Amino acid sequence: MALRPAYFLRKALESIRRTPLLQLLAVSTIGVSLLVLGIVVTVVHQVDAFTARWDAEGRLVAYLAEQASPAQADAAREAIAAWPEVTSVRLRTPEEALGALRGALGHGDELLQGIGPELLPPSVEVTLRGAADVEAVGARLKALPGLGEVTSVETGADLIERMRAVRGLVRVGGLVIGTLVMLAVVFIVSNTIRLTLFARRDEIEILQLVGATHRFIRAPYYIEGALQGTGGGLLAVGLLFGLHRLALAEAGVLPDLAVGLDGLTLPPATVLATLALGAGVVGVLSSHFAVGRFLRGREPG
Amino acid sequence: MYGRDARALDDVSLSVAKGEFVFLEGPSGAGKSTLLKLLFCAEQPSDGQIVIAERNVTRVRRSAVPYLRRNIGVVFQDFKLLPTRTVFDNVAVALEVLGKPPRDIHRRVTTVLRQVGLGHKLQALPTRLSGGEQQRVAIARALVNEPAILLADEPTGNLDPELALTIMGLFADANTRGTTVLVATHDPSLLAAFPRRRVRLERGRLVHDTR
Repeated sequence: MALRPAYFLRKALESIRRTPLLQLLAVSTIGVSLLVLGIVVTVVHQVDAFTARWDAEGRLVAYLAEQASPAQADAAREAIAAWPEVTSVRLRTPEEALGALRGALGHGDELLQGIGPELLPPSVEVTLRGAADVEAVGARLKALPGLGEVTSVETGADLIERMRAVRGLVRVGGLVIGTLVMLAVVFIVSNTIRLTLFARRDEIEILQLVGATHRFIRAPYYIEGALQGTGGGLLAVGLLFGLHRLALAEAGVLPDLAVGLDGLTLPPATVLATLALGAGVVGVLSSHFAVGRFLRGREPG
Repeated sequence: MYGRDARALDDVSLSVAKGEFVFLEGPSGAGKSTLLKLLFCAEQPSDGQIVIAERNVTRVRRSAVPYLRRNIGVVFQDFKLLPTRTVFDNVAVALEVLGKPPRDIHRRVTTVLRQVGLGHKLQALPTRLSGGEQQRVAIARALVNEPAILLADEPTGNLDPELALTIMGLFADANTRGTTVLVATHDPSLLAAFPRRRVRLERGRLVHDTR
């Protein structure tokens, strides 16, 4: 038998046209299910990106005593810059610190009304070549002569540890949700195909009667399953883009969200494409099971 | 031959030569339909063998059954047509499964529909046709692939006597062109009008063969 993809595609589209409501329902249900998966993937991606950034370049912030003079601070900066682990050192005055905080809060800077720079201590921001040196450099910073009294050194180690724990949890949760979502997609597609098969049982009987192979009967349903899965996947990606834009827009309005959402990015295009195409593959497999079960033991006459 | 407790056919030994025309006669429940189903592999015998063109079809793999069926045209009492497809499409399906090119399909479908007297109703829906016309569409579908064997299960059961004779004439024509024809019927008027070999089944047993 010569394989004719155009013929099977035509048959699949005919079938889809005959049950538009059923198809719409299937695609939208798959889309919403996959959106949940997409959100989980985005959260994992976000946590990964955050921890990777901190892992790649160690950062330290040493907060100085308020009475530290500019000369003392400058001398300390030069000494720190000479350390081999350090790539850059930056002094931040209380005024600069307040300005940075206003910038981070954006529209929410009214929260800082009545707060003056005197409440913020001067600080030294140190960027290292790698995160491995953070602890050692932090200890040396505390003991640095001429820096004045160092009130605290923020290495971010605790935060990274917490983020790693969160990442682990999110990944396990994502795996569970992903498995459940894929099972839901299998369930939706195979049941839609079963309904279509039931509606077309007379046609299938005739096809069997005139000598159609199972492969010939199955082919249009594979395409139908692939289109349903991919359609649902693309819908999910579209919704994810919409939610992302919405989240960024909200970040500008709501100060509570501003700090967390400013750097929110979607997973790479390859991940999103895998989500949509993966759903298509799951759609094909679902069709395979549904048609196989339908044809088993079914004979014309 | 079929089932463990109730045997639809038992101790049936029958040989049909290539190009022969055979009536399977007998009352309802005699096993005529079961015998035809065994021939186009819609049923499997519990015992015995069926040899078609020197091939034991009871031993072929299920995946090979479609290829066997391509050499067997089947016509049923209830026509088995797709009501939402045109006459042309109903017949064309038998060639589409073979992967024939559209031009070939068009030529052969129009030819066979002309042979059964429906050349002017290619685009009609079966629901707009009379019972006799619908059965002619089913016959055209069974013959379009030029099968070696044509099986018909009570093909005139739903038709009035005059139409029944017309339909039988189409089977006779196919037989003249070399197709082996087996027609299951319990209509004595057909048997009288077309004197051919008659095999009689009763309660699943072959009780008479005019050969």
